[in-house]
Amino acid sequence: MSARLGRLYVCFVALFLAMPFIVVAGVSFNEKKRLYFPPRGFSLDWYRDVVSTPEWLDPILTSLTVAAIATVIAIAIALPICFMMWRHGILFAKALFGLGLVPFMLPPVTSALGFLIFWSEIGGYGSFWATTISHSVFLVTIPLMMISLGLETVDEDLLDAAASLGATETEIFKTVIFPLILPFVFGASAFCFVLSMNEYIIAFMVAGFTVETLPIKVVNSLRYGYSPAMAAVSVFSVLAAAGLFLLVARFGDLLKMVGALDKTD
Amino acid sequence: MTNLTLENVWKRFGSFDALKHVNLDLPSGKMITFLGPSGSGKSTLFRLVAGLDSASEGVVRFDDTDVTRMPAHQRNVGMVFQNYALFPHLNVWENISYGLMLQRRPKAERRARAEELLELIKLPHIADRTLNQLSGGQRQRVAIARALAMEPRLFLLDEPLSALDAKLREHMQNELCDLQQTLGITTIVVTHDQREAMTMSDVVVVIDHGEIQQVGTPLEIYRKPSTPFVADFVGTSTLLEGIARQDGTFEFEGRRLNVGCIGEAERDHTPSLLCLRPEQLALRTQSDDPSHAIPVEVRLIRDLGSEIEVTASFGKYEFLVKEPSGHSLGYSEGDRLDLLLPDHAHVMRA
Amino acid sequence: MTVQSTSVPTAAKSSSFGRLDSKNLILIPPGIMLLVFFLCPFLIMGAVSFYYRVPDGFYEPDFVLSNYAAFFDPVFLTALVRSLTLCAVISVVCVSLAMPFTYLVSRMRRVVQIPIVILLLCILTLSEVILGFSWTILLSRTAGVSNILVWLGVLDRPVSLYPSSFAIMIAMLHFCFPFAVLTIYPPISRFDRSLPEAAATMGAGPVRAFFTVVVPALRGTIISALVLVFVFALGAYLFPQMLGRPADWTLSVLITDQAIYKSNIPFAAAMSVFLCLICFSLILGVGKLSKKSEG
Repeated sequence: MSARLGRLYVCFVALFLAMPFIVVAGVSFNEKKRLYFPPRGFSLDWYRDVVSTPEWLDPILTSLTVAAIATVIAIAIALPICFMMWRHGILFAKALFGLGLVPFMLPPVTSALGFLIFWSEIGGYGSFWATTISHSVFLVTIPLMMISLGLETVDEDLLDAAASLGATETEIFKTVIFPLILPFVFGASAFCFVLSMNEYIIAFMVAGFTVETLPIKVVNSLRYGYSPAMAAVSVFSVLAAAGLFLLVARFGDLLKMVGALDKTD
Repeated sequence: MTNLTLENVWKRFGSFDALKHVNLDLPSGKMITFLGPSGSGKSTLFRLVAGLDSASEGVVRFDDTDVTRMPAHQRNVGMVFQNYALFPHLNVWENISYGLMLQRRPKAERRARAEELLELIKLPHIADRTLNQLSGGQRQRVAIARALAMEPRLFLLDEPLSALDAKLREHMQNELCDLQQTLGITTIVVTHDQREAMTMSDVVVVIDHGEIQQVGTPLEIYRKPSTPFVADFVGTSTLLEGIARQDGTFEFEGRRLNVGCIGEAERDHTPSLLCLRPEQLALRTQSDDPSHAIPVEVRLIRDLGSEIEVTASFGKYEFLVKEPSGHSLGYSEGDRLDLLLPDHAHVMRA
Repeated sequence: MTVQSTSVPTAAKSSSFGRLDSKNLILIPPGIMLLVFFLCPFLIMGAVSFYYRVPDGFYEPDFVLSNYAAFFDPVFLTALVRSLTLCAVISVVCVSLAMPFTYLVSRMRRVVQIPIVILLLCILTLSEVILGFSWTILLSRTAGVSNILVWLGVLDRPVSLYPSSFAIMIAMLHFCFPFAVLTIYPPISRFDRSLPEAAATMGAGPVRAFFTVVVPALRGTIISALVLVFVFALGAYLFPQMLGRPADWTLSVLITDQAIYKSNIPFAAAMSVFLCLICFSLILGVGKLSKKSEG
């Protein structure tokens, strides 16, 4: 009886969580430029519009580029820090790790304002790199946490085993450590990428009027009235995120990455 | 065939001496065990030999080469870890040929070598399996194969059998010994299990508190323990405190026991310990020669099926005596009997 | 070998402290990135919060406290109180709903857990833009839930449920809930299952076992989750704008507004610094608290 009650509760909450997506997906199929739910008529025109008009395609491409570069930079920052902290216990690495966790402890607005002031002081305000670099350091928390979680799962005996078989420190990293943490690196990349794709406030504050990312475009067009095209864009975003996370789950242990205990232990 | 020498080796962790003036000269081509309880320093010694840690002081030599400062990856030692430490992202043959992969040998050669080793460990058909398709015993063998793939100078095994169940452990002991004899490779096994050390090895190195207690063949260690620790740790024994006399007798609690003391303990003056093993003792209702027996009280009788263990006591001393199972003992708990002493017994410095 | 096996790695590590090894050089690029592009902005922002704002213009280096004195402005004070209350309510509701949810989900099979976790991650990573847009539709007259209420006979005709503080609340609840779940998911998944089982053998039903065993045992987790969700909720800046009226604006919105539309960067910086300090002290405080309860 209470087990059924529990399942009912989980289903109810899951429905609540999924509801906005269901409605947005429904709205995107409207035939006319009005938002009805359930949709009136059925048309995929809005999806075609989104992928074929530069009005939407340009911000999508901008966002993809920013997200891809920011992700690569964030991983490149986090990987050496996590590795040196884990393998050699370097104090400086620990300090950098602590610093890298700060962005997620603070409301994003404060970081965004910091970036805004910084970039206008050094003269990069409004540039593509202002958005990209700001994203990469803002999102570095994700790879820091996930890669160090991944390193924690590496048995140190494996490193000794590799050394006894003739592997140098570099070879140990390339042939043992990196392959073992690869799922975590991949997972962290997926998170970073999706977060950067959808990040609004920082992109808006450091280059909101020049570098139009997809979230900025969505917010801007909201001012001029709603259209099912925006719903179609939202559906794309949700599908892209869900697809990437699904891939992560296939490739590695998603539950472990979000911190669950491995049940096989 | 490598001969391993350690000269006055120390290892310190902060103010803690994990190893103190270790001197060892181990014969090549033999099965050697480092035996000691947890925290004795045996694993530290082992890691030092492997090159995973470096000595704070002293010299480690493989044959005539000084390897003290040589890192692990240049020493060419094959290691088997307690939890096997197989690479989870590689399958069986990739694990075995990992060392060859580092040397960028062609794939065909690596594969062939892996097959060869799988043949050696009697698991010829598992080359392409992943690790979670293997049983514990199979993983153990794969770890052994991997360690041997590079034809190492030394073969090191850290508690290799502790994760296996009792039956499999015995089986693997025999296999390891066979393997060692076939290859003739100098092999060092770290263990805390004295039984394992006694059955497997040519030479046993007993370690406690970072110091070498004794080096010898299993029989020497058992029959002629050089310290009370060794006597106590290896097998069961009762140590009597007394004074060994020049004439071979042993003075104990006001008695003069006619046991024929052998061993290097000093005679006549300093107190020594007389080591008595269960198989040297027998219980009788009445002994013919009082200088050859101690009066004891039977405390506990345990019938194990294969034999009967009898615990008897004299003052603070407790003796274990083994009697054959299957027929009546003729005495019971609480009885007072005479404990017959052997003709010869080992004495050591107290 | 308990003594050695624990002391070996630490000893090996401590020996490399401070030594400038060539391998440590790989820390320089990440170090520069974080120090220049992350620490600097915050330091500069701190400095700017003391700068003098030139009327109708930019700002110039100075040391004035007027930006902080502006906190006593009733607009700011009401926004502050509103933000704190809103986030406190959201935090309490989220964590109370998330506790049983996470507990139940963590005991489900992996095939069920994974889609749920993916759904949570989607919400968490989509940011407020898509979610805010979705809620405006969901709460609208033409496509929203009010249509269902009409269909059920509760309402006569569909109404728009936003802008209102209710709309902000529900959207923030939706946004913060996944964060709450993922914060308490690790400790709950590690939670010793034999405890509720032991309670069951003593006659407690699953619901009672949850409230009498699981909840008290995870008290520390709950407290830190409350704080983290509170801080997370303080970061919301779009929901109050999209779903509320200016009277519903929170501190985060106020900062954006001052910085972008009112060009009062020093005042925005001062508010930012203040917000950072609140969050820092809360998180460090709860960190201390949990350390104390562990030791």
